[in-house]
Amino acid sequence: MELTVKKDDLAKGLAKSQSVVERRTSMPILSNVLLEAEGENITVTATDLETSFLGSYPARVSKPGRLTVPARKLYEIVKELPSEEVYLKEKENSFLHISGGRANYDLVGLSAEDFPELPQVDGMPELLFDGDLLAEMIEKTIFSISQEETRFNLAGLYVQKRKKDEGPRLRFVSTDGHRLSLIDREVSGLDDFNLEEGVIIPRKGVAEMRKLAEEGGELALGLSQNFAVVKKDEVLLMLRMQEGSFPDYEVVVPKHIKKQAVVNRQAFADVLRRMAIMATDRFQGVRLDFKSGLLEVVSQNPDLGEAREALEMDYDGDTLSVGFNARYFLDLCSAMRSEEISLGFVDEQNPCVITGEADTGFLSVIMPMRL
Amino acid sequence: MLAHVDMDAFYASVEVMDRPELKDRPVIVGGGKRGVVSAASYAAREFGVRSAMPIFQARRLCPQGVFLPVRMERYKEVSRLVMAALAGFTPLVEQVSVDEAYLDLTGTQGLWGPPRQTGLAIKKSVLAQTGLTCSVGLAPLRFLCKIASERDKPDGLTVVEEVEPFLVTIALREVPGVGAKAQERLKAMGVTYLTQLRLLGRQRLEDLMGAWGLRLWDLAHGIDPQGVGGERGVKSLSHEITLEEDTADRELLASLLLGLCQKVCRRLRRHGLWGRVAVLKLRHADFKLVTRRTSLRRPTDRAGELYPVARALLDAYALPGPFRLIGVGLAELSPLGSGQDILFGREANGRSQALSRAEDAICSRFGEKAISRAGALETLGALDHKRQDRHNQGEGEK
Repeated sequence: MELTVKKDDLAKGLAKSQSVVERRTSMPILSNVLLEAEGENITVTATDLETSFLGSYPARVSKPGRLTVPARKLYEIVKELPSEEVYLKEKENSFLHISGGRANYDLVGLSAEDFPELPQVDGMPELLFDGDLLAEMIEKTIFSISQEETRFNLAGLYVQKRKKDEGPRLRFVSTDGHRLSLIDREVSGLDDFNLEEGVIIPRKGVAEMRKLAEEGGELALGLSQNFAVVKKDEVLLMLRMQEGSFPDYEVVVPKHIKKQAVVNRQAFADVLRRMAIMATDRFQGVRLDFKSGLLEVVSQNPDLGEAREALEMDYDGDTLSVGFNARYFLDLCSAMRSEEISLGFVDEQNPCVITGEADTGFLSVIMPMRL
Repeated sequence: MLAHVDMDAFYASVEVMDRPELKDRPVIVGGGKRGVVSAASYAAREFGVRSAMPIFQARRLCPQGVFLPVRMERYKEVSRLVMAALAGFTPLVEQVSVDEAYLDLTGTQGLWGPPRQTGLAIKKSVLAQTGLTCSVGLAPLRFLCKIASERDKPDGLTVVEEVEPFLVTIALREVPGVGAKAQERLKAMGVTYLTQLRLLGRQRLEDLMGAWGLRLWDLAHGIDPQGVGGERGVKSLSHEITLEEDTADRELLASLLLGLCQKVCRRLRRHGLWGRVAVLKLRHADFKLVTRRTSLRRPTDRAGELYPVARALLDAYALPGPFRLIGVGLAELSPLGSGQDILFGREANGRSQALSRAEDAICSRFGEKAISRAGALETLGALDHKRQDRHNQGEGEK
């Protein structure tokens, strides 16, 4: 393998592979990136076997070939090179020679033969997305994906096609067992899809998707039972779906809301942040007292003392007093866009349903906390 | 001023009190043909016998010793008298085991006089009510009390009025929780005294020993935020069992584990608590102790929820054994019912709660052995230790 490539292109591809590369791994080769020179391109591939990144960039290839080298080191080297172009050449015993300006490196590599082969994922149906829309749908659901590795069926984003009267909608759902977020949106190309069963995209893959989507522009999302593929410009992300079945989430969304409160999102978040300072570290439990026209947030900590603050609110139901993890509402407030958000209750034991007018197709459910 | 009261060779002393003919003879209390020494009288200690030493070793060191089985019910009876005596000095008594307690004596000066006088009064009262001696350490900091009470055993009294002069005299081996391994490692760096840790620096200690290193750093500077809590201070609760014979049989260990989970959960329910972190403890045949812990999805006081998690920890432990002890506990306890509710499976949860209530009712009427889960082993005729670690910082994080 021998080639010359623009430093910025290569650095960009390597930067994006860093978060995919497995750091603590029993397979050392997964800490490497695969470099492939062929035709007029160099392709950088990183994988942890679940999430794979491929970036192809124009290069002057004088000798095609494949080699793997440590991902982190190569990135550190390339990004510091003093020249606009980088020269790469495979040497004996899988060494990679890297030079730019007067800087020269010989970096230990591993044979490309040992790099895992990525699955063939051609020909799956694709949805055409506006990057901003995908980014918004992810932003509104990613925070409630379970962080627990052992609950693998919750450790991802549930993606499903929903038939509605106004046409099919793409639904994202996430839950960590204590709260749930759900968003339905219209996406072009959904008619050809057969996704009523739903699939689970693992958390890490969702985070990678989000980064791509946040760059803006158009992207294509291909979905099958086993893989999701995201294509954008020179980049391709391949995500292996999470196994396991997503819980029957619809039963936990209260259907018959009896009491409804409307509160200013920003003001509510500010109060919660102030009150959470006094809450116990781990759970950040605060009490919300709903009175006529007034929401009082109370935080009591046996070790520190207590705090309370009231804010105005549109509510005229019976007095209601419910404990919550303040963090859950704060996450939600920063993900939502509506100026006013609405909190719906059945009673003090059942979950609270949160919606907002400017957050189309979105709802969130938070389970109370007993203080 | 805080105090630590430690009964002198408690089990052995109770035995001697009950059988005066044993006075001045080496008395060793321990269990089973392969258990460990639970207590050794001072006469026995002269032969080198120590608690936690395997019985066979004690027999070798002290063949003329009087070896007696553990009579836990009797010790508990005496323990209640001790605690009652202590409760006469302050309402803030934190019992940490059957023979040890911390007292918060803040504000009792007017009643009992200066620290030394209070210490003497405590010793006198315990002796009068139980006929047994104890050693007392008084100091402004909790961990200093414990070290002070050890300094002058048996029948001792050590008062620490000023922290710094006492601090510099403390050897690392005196600090509770610093095991032989940690001592060895620190000694290699030239540290044998607690205050020498100051020279290592905070970061270095953290790198070496994690959270426990930070705690040691604080201690070396005379910082100990732990006060004396009453019953509310319970931080973790566990049961463990020392096996008659070492075993590598995972099925047997799992059955014992289920029994231990039941016991832990019953006791939690009695206290009206639940816990969020499951802790598995295994001691290898070579005495190497390992603990593994994991957070539960939500707090529990039910064996049905604790067991699968503890079992998973056991299954995930790669070394084959054999093991001589297995234990399980719950940590990060909080009052029952507090905490985050779950979205899914709330109905099933209610059913399992009802089942536990029924189990408790049967136990309280017919005794602990009256009902058990199929597959659970509660004893192997083995030593069954109860522990109630109110302040178990550093434990298991070595």
